[in-house]
Amino acid sequence: MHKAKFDYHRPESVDAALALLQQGGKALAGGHSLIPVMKMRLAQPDALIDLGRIPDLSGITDEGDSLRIGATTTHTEVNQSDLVQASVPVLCQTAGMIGDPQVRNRGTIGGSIAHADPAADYPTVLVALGATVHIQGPNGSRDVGAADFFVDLFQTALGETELITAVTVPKLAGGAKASYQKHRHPASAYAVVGVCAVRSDSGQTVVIGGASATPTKVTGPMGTDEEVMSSVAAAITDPMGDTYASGEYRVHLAGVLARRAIAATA
Amino acid sequence: MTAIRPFGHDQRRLEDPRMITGQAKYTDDFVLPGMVHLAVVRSPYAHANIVSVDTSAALEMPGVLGVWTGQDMVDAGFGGIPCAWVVPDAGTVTPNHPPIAIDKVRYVGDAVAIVVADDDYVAKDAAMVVEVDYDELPACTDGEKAHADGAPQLHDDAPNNQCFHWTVSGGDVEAAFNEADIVVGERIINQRLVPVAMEPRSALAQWSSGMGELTLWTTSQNPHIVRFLLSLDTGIPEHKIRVIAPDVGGGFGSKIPHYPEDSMTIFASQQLDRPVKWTETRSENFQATIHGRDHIQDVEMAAKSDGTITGLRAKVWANLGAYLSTASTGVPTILHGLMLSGAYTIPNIHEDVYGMFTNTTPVDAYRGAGRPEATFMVERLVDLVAKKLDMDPVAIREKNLIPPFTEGHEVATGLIYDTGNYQAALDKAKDMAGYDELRAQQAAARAEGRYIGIGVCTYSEICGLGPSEVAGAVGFGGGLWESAIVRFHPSGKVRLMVGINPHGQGEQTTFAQIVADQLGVPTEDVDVQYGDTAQTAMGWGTYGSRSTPVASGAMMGAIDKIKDKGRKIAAHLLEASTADIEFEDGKFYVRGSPESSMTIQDIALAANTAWNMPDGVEPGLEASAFFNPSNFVYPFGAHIAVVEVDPDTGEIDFQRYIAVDDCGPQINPMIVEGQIHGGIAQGVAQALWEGVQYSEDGQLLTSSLMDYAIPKAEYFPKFELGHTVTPTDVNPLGVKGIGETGTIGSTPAIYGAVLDALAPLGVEQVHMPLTPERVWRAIQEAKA
Amino acid sequence: MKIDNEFEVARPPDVVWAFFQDVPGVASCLPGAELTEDRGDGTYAGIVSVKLGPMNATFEGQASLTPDESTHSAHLEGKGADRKGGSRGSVKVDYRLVATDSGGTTVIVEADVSLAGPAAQFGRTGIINEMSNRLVSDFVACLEAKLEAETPEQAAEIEAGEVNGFKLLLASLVAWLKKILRRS
Repeated sequence: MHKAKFDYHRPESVDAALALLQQGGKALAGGHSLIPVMKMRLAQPDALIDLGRIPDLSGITDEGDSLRIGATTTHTEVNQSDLVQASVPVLCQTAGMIGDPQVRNRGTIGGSIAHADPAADYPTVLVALGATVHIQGPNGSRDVGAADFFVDLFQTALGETELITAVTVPKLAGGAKASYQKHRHPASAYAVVGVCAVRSDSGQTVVIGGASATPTKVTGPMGTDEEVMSSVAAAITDPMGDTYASGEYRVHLAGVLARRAIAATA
Repeated sequence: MTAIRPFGHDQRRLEDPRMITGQAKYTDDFVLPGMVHLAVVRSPYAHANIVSVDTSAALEMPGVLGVWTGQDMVDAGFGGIPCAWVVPDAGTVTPNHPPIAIDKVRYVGDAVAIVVADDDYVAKDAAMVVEVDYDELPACTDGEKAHADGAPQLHDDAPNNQCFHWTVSGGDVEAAFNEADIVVGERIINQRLVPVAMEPRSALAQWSSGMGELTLWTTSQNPHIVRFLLSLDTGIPEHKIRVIAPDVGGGFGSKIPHYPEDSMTIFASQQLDRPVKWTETRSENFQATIHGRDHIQDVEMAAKSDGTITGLRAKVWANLGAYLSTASTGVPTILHGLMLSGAYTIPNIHEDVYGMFTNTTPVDAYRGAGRPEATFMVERLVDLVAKKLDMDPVAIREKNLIPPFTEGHEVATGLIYDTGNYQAALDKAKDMAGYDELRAQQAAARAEGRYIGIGVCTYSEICGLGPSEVAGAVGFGGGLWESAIVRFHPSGKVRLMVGINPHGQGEQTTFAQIVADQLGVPTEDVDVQYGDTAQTAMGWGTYGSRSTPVASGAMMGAIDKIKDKGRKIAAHLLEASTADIEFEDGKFYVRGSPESSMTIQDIALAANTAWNMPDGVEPGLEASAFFNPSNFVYPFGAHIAVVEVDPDTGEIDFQRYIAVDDCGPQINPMIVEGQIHGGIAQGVAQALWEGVQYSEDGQLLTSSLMDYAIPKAEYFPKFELGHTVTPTDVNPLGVKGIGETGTIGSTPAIYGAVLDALAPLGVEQVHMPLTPERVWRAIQEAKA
Repeated sequence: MKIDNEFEVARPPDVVWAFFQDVPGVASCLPGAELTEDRGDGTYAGIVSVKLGPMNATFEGQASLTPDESTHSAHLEGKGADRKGGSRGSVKVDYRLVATDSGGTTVIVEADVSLAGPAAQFGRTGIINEMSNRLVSDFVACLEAKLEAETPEQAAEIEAGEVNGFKLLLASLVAWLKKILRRS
């Protein structure tokens, strides 16, 4: 289908982008989620504010114990970053599993989490890693933990006049390991279910994506395969199903992938 | 030195440079002075009465030139979209198919109105504000349920939504089943698929009111058929219509039909006296371009305890969608029912096919068209017999394959297969696969709790459509012959004009190879022209793997005429007797005196200048010929697939694929391979990934590439291809078609492999596509 | 899509029935709904706006309500169109009130919601279903709360929950809204 009419802005600074946002409109990063719904005319923003030419928003920097990843850093850039590979390899792995090469070359980490699609890959992993989302708005900047950022289906802590500027991800230190396991939808390559397991000094974290509205942290015992299956099932209280995979199957798949992710971090 | 002959050798596709550099010209690339754009208002409902259509808001939008409804087209003299294949002796009814719905819509995507504006976006925006008030009606999307009393009725003249009831019968099926040692059977759902050609459809109509002439650029596999049909429903006489199909980006059957949008653009061009273009969006492609398959098949096979197959019986509900598309009724009957003997001796066959109207997108030919639906059924039944008798899938096939034949073999459905050596293809596939070793590996894996499966398919298929007498006898509203014109220019360059219309198959290259091989000119000196009704008198197009087996016959006829004429001219110029002139590798020479020779380019110059022609010989070096094949051709082959199933998740790891296909002599093996690769991909996709889903009220749930899973290259292992060569006697070059064999052979092979993997778990059937959840559920149910 | 719901309130059927005749009150339980016209003949016009992430739709619709006081039941039909996006929604709702042994009322609601056009074809059907179910349960929870309220004033203060999270209005939402609008 064809999009409805809209104005297009391409600011060159965060301040300029924020000023434009105050007048309405929608921020555009890679466009891989927004443009399709605009074509379906399920979204008809009056204006798009393209963040693609704001240098401050892109790039990966080493901040000691953590990495700061600019909001418009593409999946390919994350996937191919030596810095990320050395300190949070699971993020490289995840970025490489998103969509297809075209999507990875255009799609951005900020766009992915701002859209908060329940089937997206990054939200699951960022929650599991305990990442922080940096937000800037008309009244200054604020930080939100990834677990609090994803509020509900397609809904985040980001206000309509705010921008994500970066994500900070703690390095996996002291022998900590992480693994992301995913069942790809054969058409969209979205995560039918994606599971991220992190094993560190503080214990085992398992987060499930794709089965619920937001990333779901698994609590409960995970000592044996059976315990993993039942703890995962208990965590996903209201599984989503669709024409490809029912809620029941997603819960099962989440359990199996959780086992594999945990095994991969052993 | 012996030059490599063009025929039989790899040659990079001549069409590729322009296509991969963006220089190809597709219909949507054409921009004419004064051209305006058409958008279609489509029904969001599967079944509804149209209460009112308010066009006022659309008409008020700046840039909008007109808004019209179905009645406007009727008032202008446009008729319904004709169906070109009406199967006889089946009570076939052909309800009216207005290009724009009148009073009632019958599927999601049915046209309700058209808007024309000077800009494409304005046209689409205006289409959004055409206010249509609908009165929703109950819908039915299931070919079997549509037949029930009380089901929603689509057409007044099709009681119980039945379009036809067609039967095929051979031998004594009743007796075969009565006397059988074993009978196997099940219900097969051969699910609905979307063709998804890379290039969406497009039509650009230019009506010339002064001349009373129409030119239509359109995405067609068969421009002459479109021209013929347009002359029936637009009221424009056929000789005043020119249809041009420029570069066409894939079709898989979906660009055979004459579609309503062709007529809409013509109507609008006449109304406005300006060129009018419409190009479909991908969403429209999913809704309003034909779908394929969609059978519900209740099938049974009878056999003796030694594995000898004695009978096959089937009842099929073929879902035709809401209206008849161009070839709708022929696909599930002639191209399906007559193929039920497959590659086997099955003496007794009976099938009933019910063609059904439902509130869904019209169904027509999709790659393989009827034969995949037949082959899957037959191969599945053969596997069930093998399983019941604890026989190896290869052994059961070897027991029942038709023995090698060279002079025709008649099967119970009445078809006479041309030539075949099925065992040879199976032997080669077994060799390439290392079949016995694979079985040993499978056994070892099972012992470790791993589930490897091996699937086997031996197929034969009918293609190269076909003898025109048969076309007429089975209700096809046209001929199935081909024509060709070979023209030498004075400089010795050659133009070949044909009536078939390649849209990805590579005949620009392979046909040049044939001409070059036969006439001894460089391949690059041969320009192959197609896709324009102004260039050739007639031609019936590209589908049913017919272009090479049929058109090559016409080309050979024209080539022979060129050679004959060349001999006369050469004899005259070389001062020899025509009977003494030999032609070889592009040279005419006097027998016994090879130094006394002229090249065919010399002859072309002499003929075109005509300074010194023999008495009674016309100037020019050009010939045309027509070829009406005496039979269809029947390529065949053996495919073997290897998979491993993860019982925890139901996921399928696709490990190996071996395909041995026999299309007779190969003109360009690289292109043959490409055809087989694409065919396998589409056939495997039916087994594993693709499938249309409608909601109960007829909403198309798999309406985009976000949800409808066409395969990506990474989903496949490297295909291992082999071939055998069994020429046909149906055409001079002995060539058979190869466009559809991959699709026909691969669905059953991969399906068989998955079911073989699942056998130790007690799983007996899983419906396609074999999604991980379906496989997982089947495992859970078998455990329970 | 059929969505059935059943809940019990500690008030007698007569009181509950009277509540259900207050169409604006019932409509206020639907997030994003606005009753624009009571045509006085059992038909209503209204607007339902839904928003989910970047997606939004505004359905303008009409509904008709056919109450049957003798059986404490009603049939409601509504349909609406999103004029900007081309999506359509319709709903049929039957509800009936059944007295419980303890003097309360069981409210049985059977709804059949159908969406057409882009909203139905967006795919990602799980998301649409999820939204629909949540909207319905939110609506029902609001009704329950109103019916449980001690005073009419309290009841009037209860509105559709802060449904920002539910802003994506899907087809079922629209249908429900319309149903409500048509009532009274």
